[in-house]
Amino acid sequence: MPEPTRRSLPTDLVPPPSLRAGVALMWEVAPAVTAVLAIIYVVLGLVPAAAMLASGQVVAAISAAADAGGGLTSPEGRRLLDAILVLSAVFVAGPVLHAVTGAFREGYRMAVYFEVEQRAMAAALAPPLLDHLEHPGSRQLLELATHRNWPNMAAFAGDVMVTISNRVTAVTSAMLVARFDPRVAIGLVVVWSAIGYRRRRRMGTALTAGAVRSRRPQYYRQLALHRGTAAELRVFGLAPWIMGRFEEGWRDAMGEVWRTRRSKRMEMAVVAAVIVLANAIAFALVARAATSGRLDAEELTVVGSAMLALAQLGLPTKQDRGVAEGATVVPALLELERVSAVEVARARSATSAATVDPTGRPRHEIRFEAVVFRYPTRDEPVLDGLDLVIPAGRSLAVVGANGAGKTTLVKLLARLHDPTSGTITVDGLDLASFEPAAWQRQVAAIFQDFTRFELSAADNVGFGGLRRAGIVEALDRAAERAGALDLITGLPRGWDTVVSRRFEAGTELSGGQWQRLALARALMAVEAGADVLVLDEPTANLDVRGEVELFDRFLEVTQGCTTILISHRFSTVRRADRIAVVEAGRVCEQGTHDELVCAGGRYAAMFALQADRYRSGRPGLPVEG
Amino acid sequence: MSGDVGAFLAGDGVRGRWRSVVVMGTAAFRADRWRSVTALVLDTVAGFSGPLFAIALGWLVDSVVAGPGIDAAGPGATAAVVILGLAVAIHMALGSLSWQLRAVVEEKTAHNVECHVVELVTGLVGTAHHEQPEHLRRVERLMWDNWLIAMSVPALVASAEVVLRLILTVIVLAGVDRRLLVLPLFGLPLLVAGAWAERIRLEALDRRADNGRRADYLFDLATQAAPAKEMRIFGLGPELLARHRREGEMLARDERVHRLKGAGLIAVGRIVFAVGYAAAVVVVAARVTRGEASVGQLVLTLSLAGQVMGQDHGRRYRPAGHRCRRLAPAHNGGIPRADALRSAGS
Repeated sequence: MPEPTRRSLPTDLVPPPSLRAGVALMWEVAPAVTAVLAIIYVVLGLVPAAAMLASGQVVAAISAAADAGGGLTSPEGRRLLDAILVLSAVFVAGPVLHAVTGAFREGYRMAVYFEVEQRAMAAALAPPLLDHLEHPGSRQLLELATHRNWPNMAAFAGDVMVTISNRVTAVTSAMLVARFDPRVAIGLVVVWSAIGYRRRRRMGTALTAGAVRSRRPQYYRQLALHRGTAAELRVFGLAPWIMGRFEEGWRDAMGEVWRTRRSKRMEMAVVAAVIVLANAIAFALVARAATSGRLDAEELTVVGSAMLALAQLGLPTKQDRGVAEGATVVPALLELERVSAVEVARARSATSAATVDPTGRPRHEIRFEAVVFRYPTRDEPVLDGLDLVIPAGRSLAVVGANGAGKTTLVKLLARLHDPTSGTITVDGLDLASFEPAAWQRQVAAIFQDFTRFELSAADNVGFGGLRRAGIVEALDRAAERAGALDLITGLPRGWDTVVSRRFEAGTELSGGQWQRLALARALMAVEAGADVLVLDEPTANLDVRGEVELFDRFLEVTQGCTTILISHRFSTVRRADRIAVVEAGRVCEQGTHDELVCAGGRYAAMFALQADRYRSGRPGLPVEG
Repeated sequence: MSGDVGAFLAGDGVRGRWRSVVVMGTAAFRADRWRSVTALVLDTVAGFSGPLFAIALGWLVDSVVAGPGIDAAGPGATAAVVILGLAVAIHMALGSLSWQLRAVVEEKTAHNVECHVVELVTGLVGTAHHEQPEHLRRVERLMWDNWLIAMSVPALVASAEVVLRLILTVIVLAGVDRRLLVLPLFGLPLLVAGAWAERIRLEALDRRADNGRRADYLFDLATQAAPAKEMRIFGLGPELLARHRREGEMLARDERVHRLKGAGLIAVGRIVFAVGYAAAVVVVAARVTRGEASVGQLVLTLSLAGQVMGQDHGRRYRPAGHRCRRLAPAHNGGIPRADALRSAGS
């Protein structure tokens, strides 16, 4: 097996915000909808200018009607009514179009939000190995790209549209002012744009800084609210401590945001002076033109309204914040996708060019030779020169103290990680000869922290073999072999029952019931063609008797398969064909139960100790190496 | 306008809404006293800038109609110009300053809401509440929408500003013609439509809470380290992505549908109000043609119309609940009482 590049991912991968990247993503999600919405919002941006011009027309018409006399019934009066009708139409058209478009915009921005999630999920799922998910740098990117409580991509998509509209309004207002005096228009645009730009830039910087720092308080909040930690929180009275850390972390994160966002006093004074000065000059020029007769009532109405509208350029809006938030999300997503692609390429480069179909393997054995493995974030190796042979079609138990490297061994076997050095072969073929995904289908593993899918019971079992998940007979068979069929038939809606109370009409299962479902999932994988079965201590929270029963049942129903039982209890695996004792990352003894007991080594000592404890009525005591 | 006030009316009865106003006001005040009060004062003062601008523009137009030359226009023109500049400057400076203050108040209020909920949840005896969908729904709403709750504080301030501006508008218009006092009646359908649309939105959010939660759960399965082993071993990636996509499409479709219903209602309300305002313009125009009112008063009416109808693009920061969260509605001021959470969790 070629040695993979054990490149460590950098811990700080936060890319700078990019508005362009965000807009590009919106386009990718739905080019047609994006274009149509953009056009509509451009039109909406034109509506205020249209309203100003229509108001001007009403003022012009009223002057003519007043001069002509005869009220609204005269021809001038009817023209006035026509002008009012046009103005009313503009008044109605804008808000109605805005309301209806807004409805489509909500669906659209939700679609953009889900697309970000989809791409983040795809990026997380794509690498066949797990390095990226266990690395703080890529975890940070994942959180930034999809943060639930900070940058909000959904707001971004909608706010970009409204911002387009606001900019069009500003431009058309500037054009209306320019009809009166281009210098005033240019001056106001420059002043308001500069103020607005500076404020938005500062907001973006503050959001990025805050998003990174908010991870820690969010973690404490999660600890406080998660059901998995609820019991310990109460037993150990940790709530006040967690609240304190949450508060402290939040103040640290927000302190950074506030510092970055806060305007300096001098800057505020300068901005205020500029605002007053710009307005004074602009309105003085308007007044001079109006009183000298260069600007009539109609033009004055239009120019005055346009100057007020133009001032919006310099004001902060809620859309500014949404845009600034979204601009931090997409670069993080793109960086995450880049990291994911690198990890995929790394796994591919570690795989032989000419791959072999692993279906039906192992036929003879799986062999670990001088395998060393070190996690990217740790210096000490977990496996340190491990040699082990797993005979095909037989059962092997791997026992050892907690932290001996048993689970890591299983991860390497399933090619969730590649060894740092040494080789793993299947029937003499390097594990790297197989496509990682193809080999992973050959392995059915239930880990100590097996997933309790908060979905239907059918999903919990069917996920073991998706190709056969729709066949009820296959599900029934797997459940029956795992001793879970009675459990399923006893559920309110049978296979369709959602096994989580978090969902409507859902139900909750006990620990033992979950284990039977997990076992059924592994057996479903066998139905679907998996040849290697692994039980990696899913029984850790059972007592010794329960674990023995489960292991025995497992060995019974998987006879003829290559099965591996992992346990830190030496006294529960005696029925396995062979037993390997792992200590400090190596196999220190192996053989049958009887052989190991006769040898009088580590296994014999630990077996005797645990058996004594069991006989003395203290079987639950943990046994460490 | 309809959004803020409509959201206020759409809740669990007016009494409950008023209670929410009190609770939210208190929450903001506790979060940051001087910023809350200062923002309220600034926004109230800024609320005068629109009508002030319209009045000054009317004066300036009247002085222009009176004839060219500063002498003909008189001191009224100078005063009008000064007020116009002042109105825009007030609008800009106070709006900008108030935004900064409100942002901090929002953030602190959101945090206080979070702390409040965390304290309530961790204070519950036992862990059974974690298995209660109703409890989880309440907590999720609050935690995921704490921003919306916090933002409802400035939304209330903005609503107060809108109401103030409406009152000022009606007073100013009544100065032109007393019949224009009936104009607010044309705004009632818009308020009712806003409340109705908000109710539709809240019901839709409740209806699809499970779908949103499931989408979140699928996302977590795909991206967390613990389930990643099984995701790969059983080849579940494509299945998770497909399910997540289906949930997302359903949620986006549902969002479009219920928003369209709401938009239809609001559009009807807007049309009724526009008809009322057009009638007001006709009334003033008729008076101008009869020489009973000035052109400046018509300009004043038009300018106010633009502002009230939202056509002036004086869209200052309006922090009403616009941030999209897939699950939880922002019942303005929806901070639960401890007993409510406890009863849901028991």
